[in-house]
Amino acid sequence: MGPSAIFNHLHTMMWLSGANDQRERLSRPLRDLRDRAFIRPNFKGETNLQMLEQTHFDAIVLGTGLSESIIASSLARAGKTVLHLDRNIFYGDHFACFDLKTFLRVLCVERDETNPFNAAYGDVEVVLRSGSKEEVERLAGIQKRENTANEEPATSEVAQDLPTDDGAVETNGPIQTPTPNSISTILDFLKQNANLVPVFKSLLADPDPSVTIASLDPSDPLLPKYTILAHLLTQSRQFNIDLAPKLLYNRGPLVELLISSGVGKYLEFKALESVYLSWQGKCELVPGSKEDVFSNQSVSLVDKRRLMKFLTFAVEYEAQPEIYQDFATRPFIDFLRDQKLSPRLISFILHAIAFAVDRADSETITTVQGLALTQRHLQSLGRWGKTAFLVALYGAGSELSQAFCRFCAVYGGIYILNFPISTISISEDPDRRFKVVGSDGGEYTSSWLVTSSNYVGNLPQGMNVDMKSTRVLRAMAILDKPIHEDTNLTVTVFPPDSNSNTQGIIAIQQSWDVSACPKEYYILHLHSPSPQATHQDFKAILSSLSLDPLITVFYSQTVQVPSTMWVADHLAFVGSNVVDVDFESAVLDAKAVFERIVPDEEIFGGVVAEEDGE
Amino acid sequence: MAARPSARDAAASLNNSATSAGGDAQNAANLKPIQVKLVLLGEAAVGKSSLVLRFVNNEFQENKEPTIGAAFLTQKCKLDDKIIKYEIWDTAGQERFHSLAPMYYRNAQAAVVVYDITKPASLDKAKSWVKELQRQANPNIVIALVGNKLDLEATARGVPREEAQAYATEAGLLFSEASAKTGDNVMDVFTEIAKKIPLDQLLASRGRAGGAASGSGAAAGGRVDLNAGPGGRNAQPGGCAC
Repeated sequence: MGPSAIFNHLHTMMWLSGANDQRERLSRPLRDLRDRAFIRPNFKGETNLQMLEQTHFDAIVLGTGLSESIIASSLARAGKTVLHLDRNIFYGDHFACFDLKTFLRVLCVERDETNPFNAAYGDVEVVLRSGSKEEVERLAGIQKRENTANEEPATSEVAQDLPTDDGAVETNGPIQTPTPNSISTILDFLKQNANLVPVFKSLLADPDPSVTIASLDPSDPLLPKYTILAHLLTQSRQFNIDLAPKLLYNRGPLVELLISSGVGKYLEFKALESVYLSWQGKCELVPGSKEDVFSNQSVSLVDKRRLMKFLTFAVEYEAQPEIYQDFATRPFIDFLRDQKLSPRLISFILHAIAFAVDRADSETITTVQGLALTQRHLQSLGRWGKTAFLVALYGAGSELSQAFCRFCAVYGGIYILNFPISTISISEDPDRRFKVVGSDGGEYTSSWLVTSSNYVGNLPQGMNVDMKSTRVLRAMAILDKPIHEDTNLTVTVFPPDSNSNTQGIIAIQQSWDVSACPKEYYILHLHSPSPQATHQDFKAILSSLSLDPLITVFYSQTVQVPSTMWVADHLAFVGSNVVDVDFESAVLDAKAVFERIVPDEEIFGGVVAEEDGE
Repeated sequence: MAARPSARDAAASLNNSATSAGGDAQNAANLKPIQVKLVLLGEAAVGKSSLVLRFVNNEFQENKEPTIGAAFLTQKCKLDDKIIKYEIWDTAGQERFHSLAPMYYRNAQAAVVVYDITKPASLDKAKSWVKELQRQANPNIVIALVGNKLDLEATARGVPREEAQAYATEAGLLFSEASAKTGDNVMDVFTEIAKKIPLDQLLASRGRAGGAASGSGAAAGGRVDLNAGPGGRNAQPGGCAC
């Protein structure tokens, strides 16, 4: 164990110091991604040497997002031959999960705009905590001297970073010159990570790009920020940061599919602990059971009865059409008002149960849609934990995709990541209807083609695919205290105008509990499904909750969604749903594709327990 | 690893202990098997699956098809007063184009990296897998380097034992040469691994995030076992069917 631990350590150090830099001309982010995907430096050469002997498949699947991965595994399970390709070198597409360095690099550095994956990310802004002298010294690993007992709180107003990410002079009181020791620790770190300096610079929006390590002055006002970032980056690999965090409904079709297929055996989950709703500037715990409703002190007895009556009806609303049929196609909110529910209870049902958080959605969803969403949520209560949701360990979409892909491979599916595609052609010959050509010259044909919308640009010229683009604004904040006291895994819903936000926002907090980050931190993922949302909406929330993240990364995901799934008889497009808080639409898409390709079978039908090999 | 008088005997005795382990477990209520995730790595066609089939079923198939059809295999192994239940993950061919998912290594407590003693290139490949493991996997992972196809030693050996041994010693790996075909040394690989795994630590850390394999129900560190919940497929207590 000794030698191996040392070896490991050395290797890490080599990597940090950029010792591998000369090996290849891959751009740095690609190299790091490759490292993460366990692809060795001579990867390219080996692929060329190792061409597949089989070149025709029943189905070729492009992209390893969740829908595509479920489709690939269900087809392989039904006995179809499957080739599953991804131009990226990691699994999960827009649901991928990265360590902190890779996360920052994917979003901030050396963006390859020719890759539709990268092109989907924009509106990037990084804000670092200003940091005090104490914090600098603590993070630099320097023991505070006994006589510096005068307390200076290690906080700064988030508002100071607004409206622009400053990089300007600290407003948090004078930064005193740290001890020579701490300076040298930071400088050592930066020297070992010379390749990070440009990243630091761009992250910090440094007004003076000529600044280099050598010229870093101990009294440089940016030093505290460098220190915080440097400290976080040393722990990079302990972070598993979702690009698009998701939750699973306890009784939703995805969980059922994970159970019936056995794919769930590869995965680990925890129950979401709590759901909070922001109401008139305060965050209230959302009751998860009848008992919770009745023990709630802040709701009047009349309201409790009305709420329980409504919820009891909604669980089996189809049985009593007379209650809602007049409102069926009218806005859900009108129906709720008609039920004499108070504005607070309406917000509770609409935002924290139906999860219609977007302003437009919450005003326009029909009663039937709203009831279906409410029912889905209520049915998922009481299975595991106190909420309707499960949280996946190590990242949701990425882990789920990997699990389905592994299952596909177990049933003979062939996987090639890092497979840039040059062309896709379509012929009349039913035996080789689709031909996918890789930029390494590899050619594969198939009878069916299933692709994520990221590959639409590879289709033959003149083929029209009607695409709709969806944009979601996100922020990932690393906190050193939880959003609500004593919480780990929690969701907080901020309806439009409920706090200082104008747009609806959902905040998912993850922690060490699901291996999202080191134990001393929490990760808060904020996202808004509203096209009008701005960074300011997120900043206002962080500020009003007095959260002072060590780092906040704002970004948008813009994903193309085809308006029809089947663009040709045997060619299906599936989009990545980055808007919803759950994955249910991925399952519906996968089922629809499977049923068309294998019409006589049920998806993952006939799976039996003996697949343990026991 | 000292040579046994007869590989077949060694195999038989270990199988016996594995069989009797089930009985012991029932006698001693507190003697729960310690689950250990073990991953297989190595170049295609070096005999990764064959080694495991020999270990798990004590069988060998000539000209076995490339791996499909088993998510993972399990086998119990008794060591002193403890029972270890290996959950053995095969690459399912995903290593071929370097598309192994990070999930594969996740929380693996042991790895068997296999090469073919008749093919020197397969040892180079094995070394690169060891590097990957040391960089990406759990830092306490126990790695065994195994040269397979020892039955072809007389006619086709291409990798000197000393060379592989020296590398293994330097890199801190367990080492042995074995034959899935004859069964020689196969069981030893797994018992040696069991001896080296910090079992007590494993027991203590069970249920923590990033710790050992999952427990059942919502007990272990709050993990949810999908199959054990109401409506789960095999909701038997303990979740262990073997």
